[in-house]
Amino acid sequence: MAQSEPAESSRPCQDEGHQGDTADASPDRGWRGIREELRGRRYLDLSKDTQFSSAWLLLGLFLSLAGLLLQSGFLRATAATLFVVAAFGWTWNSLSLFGLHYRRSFSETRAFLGETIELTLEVSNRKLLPVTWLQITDIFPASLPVDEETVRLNRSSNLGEFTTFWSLGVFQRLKRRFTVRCIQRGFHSYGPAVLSTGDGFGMFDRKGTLGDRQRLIVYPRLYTIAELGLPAKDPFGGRDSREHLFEDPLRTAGVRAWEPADGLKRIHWKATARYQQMLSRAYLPSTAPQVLLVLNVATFPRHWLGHIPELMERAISVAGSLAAQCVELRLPVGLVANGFLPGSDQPLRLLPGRSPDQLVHILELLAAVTAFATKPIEELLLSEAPRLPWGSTLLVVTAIAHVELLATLLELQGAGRKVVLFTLAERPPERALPGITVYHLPHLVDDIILPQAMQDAETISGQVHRWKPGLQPEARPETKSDAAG
Amino acid sequence: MLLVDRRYALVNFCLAGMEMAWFLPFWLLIFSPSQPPWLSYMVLLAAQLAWIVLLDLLNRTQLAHPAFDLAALGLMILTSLLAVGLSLFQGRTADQAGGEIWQSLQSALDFSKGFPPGLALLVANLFLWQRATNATSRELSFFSVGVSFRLGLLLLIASAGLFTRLRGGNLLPLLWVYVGMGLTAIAVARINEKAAGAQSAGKPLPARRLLQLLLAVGVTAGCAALLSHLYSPAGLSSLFERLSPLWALLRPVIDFALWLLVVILTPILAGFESLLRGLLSGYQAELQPVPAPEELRLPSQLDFASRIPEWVWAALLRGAIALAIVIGVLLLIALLFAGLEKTRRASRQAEAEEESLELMSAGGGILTRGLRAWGGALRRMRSFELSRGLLAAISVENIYANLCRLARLRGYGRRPSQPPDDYLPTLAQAFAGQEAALARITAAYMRVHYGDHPVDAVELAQVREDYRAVRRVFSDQGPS
Amino acid sequence: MNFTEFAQTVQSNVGQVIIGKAETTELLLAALLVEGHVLLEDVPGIGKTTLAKAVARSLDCSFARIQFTPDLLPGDITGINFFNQKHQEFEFRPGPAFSQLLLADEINRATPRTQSALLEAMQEHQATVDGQTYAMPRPFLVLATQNPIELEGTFPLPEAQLDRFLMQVTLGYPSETDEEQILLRYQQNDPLAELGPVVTTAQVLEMQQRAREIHVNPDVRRYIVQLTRSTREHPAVDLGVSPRGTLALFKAGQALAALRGRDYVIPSDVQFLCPPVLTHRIHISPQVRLRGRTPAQVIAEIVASVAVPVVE
Repeated sequence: MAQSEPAESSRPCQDEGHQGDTADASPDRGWRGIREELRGRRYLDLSKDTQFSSAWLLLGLFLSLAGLLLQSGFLRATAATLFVVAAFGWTWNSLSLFGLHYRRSFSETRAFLGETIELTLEVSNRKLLPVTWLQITDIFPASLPVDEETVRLNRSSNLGEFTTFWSLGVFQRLKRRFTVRCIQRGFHSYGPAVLSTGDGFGMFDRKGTLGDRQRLIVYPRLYTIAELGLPAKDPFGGRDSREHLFEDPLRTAGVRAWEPADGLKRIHWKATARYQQMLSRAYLPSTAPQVLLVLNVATFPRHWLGHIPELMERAISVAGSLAAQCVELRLPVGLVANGFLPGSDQPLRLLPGRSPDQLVHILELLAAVTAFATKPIEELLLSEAPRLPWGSTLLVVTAIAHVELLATLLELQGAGRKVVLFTLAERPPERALPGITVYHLPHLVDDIILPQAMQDAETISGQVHRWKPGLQPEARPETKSDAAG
Repeated sequence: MLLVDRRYALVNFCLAGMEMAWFLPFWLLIFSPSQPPWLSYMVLLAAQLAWIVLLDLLNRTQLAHPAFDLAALGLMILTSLLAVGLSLFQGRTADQAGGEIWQSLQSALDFSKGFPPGLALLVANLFLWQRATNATSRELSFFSVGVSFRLGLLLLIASAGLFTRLRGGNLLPLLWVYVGMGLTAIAVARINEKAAGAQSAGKPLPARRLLQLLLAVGVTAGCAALLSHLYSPAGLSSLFERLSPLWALLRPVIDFALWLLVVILTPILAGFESLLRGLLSGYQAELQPVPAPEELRLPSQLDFASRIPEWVWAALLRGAIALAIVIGVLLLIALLFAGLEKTRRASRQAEAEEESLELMSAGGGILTRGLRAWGGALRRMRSFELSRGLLAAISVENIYANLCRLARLRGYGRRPSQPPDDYLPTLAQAFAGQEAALARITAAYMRVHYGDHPVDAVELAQVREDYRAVRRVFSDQGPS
Repeated sequence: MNFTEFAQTVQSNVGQVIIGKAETTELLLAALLVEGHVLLEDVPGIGKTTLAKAVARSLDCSFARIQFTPDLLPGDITGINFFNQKHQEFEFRPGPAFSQLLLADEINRATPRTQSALLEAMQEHQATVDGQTYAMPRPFLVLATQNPIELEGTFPLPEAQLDRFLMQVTLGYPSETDEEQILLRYQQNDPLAELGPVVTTAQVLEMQQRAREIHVNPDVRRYIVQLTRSTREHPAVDLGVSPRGTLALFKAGQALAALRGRDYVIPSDVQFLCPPVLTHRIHISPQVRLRGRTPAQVIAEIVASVAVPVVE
């Protein structure tokens, strides 16, 4: 349900539009038509969508004069009719947007990829005048289709337009329901809506804009633990910290002699009483069982090589699924990614936490993350890792397992960090990664057809490495044809 | 079919009516109106609609090229013969009519006695056929209907203006008919066009909304008719005289301008009028039935309208009036039934809602609710004992219950989850001006029902008086 | 002193320091009357500490504040037995929990073990240190605060522990007018420093006793039970309100009715108390939370769906 309720976005229409065509018409348009007609050339203004023009009033005046001169009641009555119809049309048009309410609401404002939600459009006319015609053009995301309806793509604005037609009687309210299929991840914006209406006689028209916007968030698809192929117990490996840098004041390992730096609460009073000397508690090392998801949005080692959207989507889904698993295991989980949110130029970053809304925040970020990588993933890892408390686990999710990334992972592992790699690359890492748990998930991308070039070769640092099954990679100098290909 | 498809039937009908409206004065200019103009109009409109139906049916036969043309030609000949025969040669036998029609066709180009009636009927039939052909292929967009309206209005002005100038008479009703039909056609065309451009439900305009549209058209035409009575030189003069200071300044200018126009235009208009009179006088004719040859002299030679006995006309008129009354009564009954059905449906829905709410609140069926009510009564007896206090408590609760019922009848029902104090502002809306009384009743009810406090005689009297005051408001204004 | 006088006196006194939060003060007083504890969840700088101090000073109660940190130990809350080398014996040094009004700031920053120490004291009104039980003073009210803007290294209270709080209340930002008023009020001096007691501890205890005598009609009682049972049957709720929560709503209703000058509870009182008393006691399913629905919305739906007992 839309929170603008009038959430859910029910607001009276603000008239921002023109009234008929006269406000927009150039001053001499009517005369130009007459001049063109006199020259024998047809002049039809096909953009004109209303009946009224200055000719109505001119004709009325002419008929009034003729009627007075010729003492013809019929001509005078015709003149009066023209004036009355124009006046009624103008008044009706002026009041057409008054008391008109448009409301857009969703059955859900968040959905997962592949789900459908119900969209309800409601229009109410709260006045004594009927609204014989009302056309509402609402901005819808072009990427989310509406069942049995068409969302037209406006090529100039690149926005989807959903046009509906309504005809309302006096104090009438109408409702229509549509089904939206959530087939693309992201933050999808609905609105604003432009309402076009006018008088029933087609004399004038006017437009009004409702600036309310609503948001529909489509989360990435989540895989189950079975689909990911993770072990049910300790999927991220056991925790064992041998470092003694940080102590846990709640876990006492023993006693030691009191030192001047020890606070009052560190003193072990019972031991002190027993041994008649000041003794302090010795604490066990402290570890923070935190998990940080590190997502690589790049699908090629070099960004100029291109981008495979579907591959990135799968990687995002894996990251989201892992976050859900962590939340289920009650682990504090955070997220960093080298992609960024629309409108920002900073990499995505959410500190680990275990609040009930943490998974919601992570999925929202994953729903919004774009494909453009702000920096290589290895740089991101090196910048983020030092900020983490000791004992944190790094879950690296990537569609490609290139050499630089693997080298960085090894470096982090050597420094004492716990690292788990989830790769969707076509082949598992060729080099050994001691101390790092690697999950190779090609079954998640089996249905994606990768570009032929990347199935045969990978260009790194100017050397082309040809990968063939069973053979060691051999480097050869880059040739012109390779660079061109 | 053009006149059956609900989306376009009304537009086609109105366009046909508009065309006949501007054609009629031209027809009457040639043939003086021995019958009332409205009758001529009805005949022309019926003929036009008949042609539209015939051509539509012909189109649907999907005949190939020569056969189609032959069929159209055959229709034209047949209808022309019918028109000539019915108008000019009534009461003849077939071979007599055939002979006389042949003679009439031979003298079709003989203008010595004025415009030949037979030729006029042929031309009119041709015109009707042409308009019907146009109707079967015309575009019913808002733009084209609008153009038809504007052009037709100009033609109507020209034709009716000329007719009233040259023949006298009043064709104002024709103007109202034209305006009414024109505005209706435009409005419906507008709706259809906008609906086609958007994702509408695809259904034709419902009857209720169509009635509202027709009401708007009727009000517009009615106001135009009213204003036209005031839009006379005397009326305008008296209006301007109300703006006396400004009128005093402008009058000389306007008078001079009018005088100038009169001086310049009068000779031109007078010359044009005399030219037209001259043209038409030579060709004016009366569309009367041709007298029978002598050997077949009919008892009396009457004009077209008076050949038919008076009692037939009277019977037809009475029949038409009776039919109109019957249709009106049937419509009223249908509306009444529709209204009753709607009320019944609403009350059924309300009952269903109440049932579901009862289930939600009571958490059980009738038996449980009954036991609960019995338990409540026992509890009340324990709280107040068998005394006046008990009766007073029951009175207060009943008063509040009735209050809620009256408010519900006025459309201000209480939501099941709405407590009495929260419901008070809604009650104040239902019974305007009784805020203090309603507050007292609500407070007393809450003290009795939730606090188990007894109500003394003074307070009970006050509550009763407050309730009577509210009831008076309800009686005065009635349920909504 | 009757309840109305009590409420007005304390509220107006607190109102000299906390501007525009009469409703929150009323809820705190209701919690005080039923000896329940309150969880204040709000962003920093809203005035949580100031509110607690103002209430404590108005009631002439002893006040203590604990800033919870990850290295806080249970003994730092309840107290420790330290060895007096001079007397060669252990002496109990009571912790800040032995105050009549205790402000536990950022309770979610302490470890679960430390949190439990406080929560047990709240529940039992006593603390056990090294086998020796010490009773809490009366009245005893704990105001715990949580920062909703999650920082790393926090331990949100689990559902079972949240249930021990009678109410969860938010202060919220002041309105524009109120915020201007704050500037004016605090321009020259600190009104909190000038605040004095307006009721005595004995009066508070008496009010607590009398609050239990407020009449609750069987229909209202049934209504309370229907509300809490509905939370267990709602499809969006994984864990509904416990009987402890039902009792909390019942008692809070009595206190609120008393503060509003009535000797009986009405359904409006119950509906007013549902959000602060029930919201933190339900656990909605993760799928529902992912759809953007919050526990507060679910409680509002439940309140709107249960019929109020009215004779019609």
